[in-house]
Amino acid sequence: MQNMLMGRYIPGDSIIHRMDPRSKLLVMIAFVVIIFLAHDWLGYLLLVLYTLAGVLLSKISVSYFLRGLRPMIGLILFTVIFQMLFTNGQHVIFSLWFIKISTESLINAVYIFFRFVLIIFMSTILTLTTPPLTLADGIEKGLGPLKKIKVPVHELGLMLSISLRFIPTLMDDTTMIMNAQKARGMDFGEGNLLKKIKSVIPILIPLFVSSFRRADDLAVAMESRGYQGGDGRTKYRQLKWQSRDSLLVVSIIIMTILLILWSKVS
Amino acid sequence: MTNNQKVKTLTYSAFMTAFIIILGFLPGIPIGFIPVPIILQNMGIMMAGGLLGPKYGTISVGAFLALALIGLPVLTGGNGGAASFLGPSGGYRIAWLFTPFLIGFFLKKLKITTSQNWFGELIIVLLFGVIFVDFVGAIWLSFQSNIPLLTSLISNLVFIPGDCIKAILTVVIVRRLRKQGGFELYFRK
Amino acid sequence: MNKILEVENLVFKYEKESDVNQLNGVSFSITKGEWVSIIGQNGSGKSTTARLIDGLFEEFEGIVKIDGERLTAENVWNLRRKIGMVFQNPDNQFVGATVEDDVAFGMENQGIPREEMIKRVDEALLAVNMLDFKTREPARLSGGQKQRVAVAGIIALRPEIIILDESTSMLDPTGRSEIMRVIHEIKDKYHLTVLSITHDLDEAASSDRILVMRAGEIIKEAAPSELFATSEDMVEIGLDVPFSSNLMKDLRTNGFDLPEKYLSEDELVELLADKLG
Repeated sequence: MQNMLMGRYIPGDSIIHRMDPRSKLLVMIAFVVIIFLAHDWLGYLLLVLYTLAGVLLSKISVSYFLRGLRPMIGLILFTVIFQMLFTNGQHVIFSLWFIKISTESLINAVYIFFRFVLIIFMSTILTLTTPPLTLADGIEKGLGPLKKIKVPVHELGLMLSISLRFIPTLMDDTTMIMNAQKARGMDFGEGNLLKKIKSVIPILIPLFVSSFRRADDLAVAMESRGYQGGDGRTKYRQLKWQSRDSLLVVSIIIMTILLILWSKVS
Repeated sequence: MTNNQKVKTLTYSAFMTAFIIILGFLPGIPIGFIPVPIILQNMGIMMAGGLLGPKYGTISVGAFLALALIGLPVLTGGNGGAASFLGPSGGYRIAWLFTPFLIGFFLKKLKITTSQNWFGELIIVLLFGVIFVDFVGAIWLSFQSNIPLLTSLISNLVFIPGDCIKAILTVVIVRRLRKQGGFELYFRK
Repeated sequence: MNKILEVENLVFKYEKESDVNQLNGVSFSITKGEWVSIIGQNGSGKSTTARLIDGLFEEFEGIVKIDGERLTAENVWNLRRKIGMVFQNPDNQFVGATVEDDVAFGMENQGIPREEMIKRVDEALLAVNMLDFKTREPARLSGGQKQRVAVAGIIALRPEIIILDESTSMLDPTGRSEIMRVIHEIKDKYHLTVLSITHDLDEAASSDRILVMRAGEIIKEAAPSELFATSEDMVEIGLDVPFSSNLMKDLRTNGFDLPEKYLSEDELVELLADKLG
């Protein structure tokens, strides 16, 4: 929890580490969309190669990627098995009562498996090579054009950075309140259902009250330091878009074109 | 809003986002008759609209979802990333974005935050924090996993008891926090 | 004398309908380069006074003049630039996600160009001896270190007045003495004026002048030595007399020859050690 600000970031100096968060974010989002353009093994092969290239270029051990997969295993298996059981196909290879597994449903399940794994790998590349704060900067800068339609982009960026900054503090508060209540003889997860449920209240209310007091103090401190909204503000942190970032964007465009062409041909 | 109120609103929204994330780290409450423990994160979603109103409640939940979408491990159990939006539980995540708006909007419209009507508030939280979310979640699940809508809806009933308990807790907590003051601003016309 | 801060007849209440005044006609002034402390019990109006001077409350009666200019709703942002405030809770004023970001926050608000910010961040962190912690997150800092970062954030803005709003009350003794040393150093280096709201009488004792507040009014104004010499008054105000003052008084009544001015614990120890041999 103390490491929330680091997230899953693994410090490094690879080309992917040095890329601008905006280009990485853009490519990750685009990848999630174009993955639905792949309909056969060749399409998926392309996507697998693209992802593998990213993994290799990040110079981060594959074990970290597999670790990123772990919390999602249940979710993947759930989806894959349901696909297998409930997709109707003509070539039934196995049938038992209401369960029918066909070649089509099997292939479909494999594709869906890959779809999940690839998406997870892609977002893992992003979070392993970019610290959360830089990602927040990336979101703020990436949304920049929305300023024209009066979206308070700057405020959103500041808000993200403040919530990331206060997560460890609030986590400490939570631990402290839980210990204090324990010392006063409260048991968590003990007793009957009603008791268990009620035990949440004396934790959450003090937590919220003390946190909103923190938020009040913070607002006063921000004002005393001259904060009056995003207008006329300069930024200490800066992002630098370089040719490698343009290249990355070009690479995903090429992927998109290839996938579209292939789905037209086949 | 005065500058003072604007800055306060910014810090309150940021803290609301942080809360929702913290709730995901807290251990769930084990209950006997259902195998899954009650997780607390969606209580944060139900609270956002009741404390910060439709606009800022939505902003804080939106910020939370954005952090989850880019892959930070902010969802219960350390999950995060685009895959958790496309998977079987993607429907809940999408419904969560609208929950604070709906709850906040109706609380404001029906002037419930300033009245003694806590039962009315509970109905609103149940409608938009529980039924709406589970319904959207079920529709998504049905599409995503190719299972019939009815089966999907019925399987979602398993969440209803826990969610109802959370709705009650939400109303109790939110009403007590509102008494402390500082939130009137978000329900004024 | 050059008055950097003048306060005339401040009256303030938190709620309009309330008939209790939080401040009931507070007046004082501070000369450039002075170090003035305000002491008093909780709820006596010390912090409220400090916040009014920084324009953090919108409605009040009375006059606040900073560097000769009267504070109004129009010029509050400009005048606030001349004041840097360090608050009580080290965590609740740390805006940035890392030390350098936090020091830069105030400069970002003033629209200072980035090159200048980079320069001043290093310079300010060096002044508070925190340069090695530049990229650290607040969760990894002690309370005293966080307060030093807050001070760095202020000196980066080049203010004229620094207001300490019970800035040391949540720190351990080490953190407290570190912060006080830093403030004394930067006060001399940047020719600052210091207004310190404090509970710590040892801290107040090192200032040029002390204002004592009670129930929204200033009831006494004196130099530390003068104030602490009359310990009966202190008890009446509801403040503890510093340990060293009490000890000196007892020693005097027992026939020891001690100077009639206030000494801090360390100074007293030295003096006694001298006398003993």
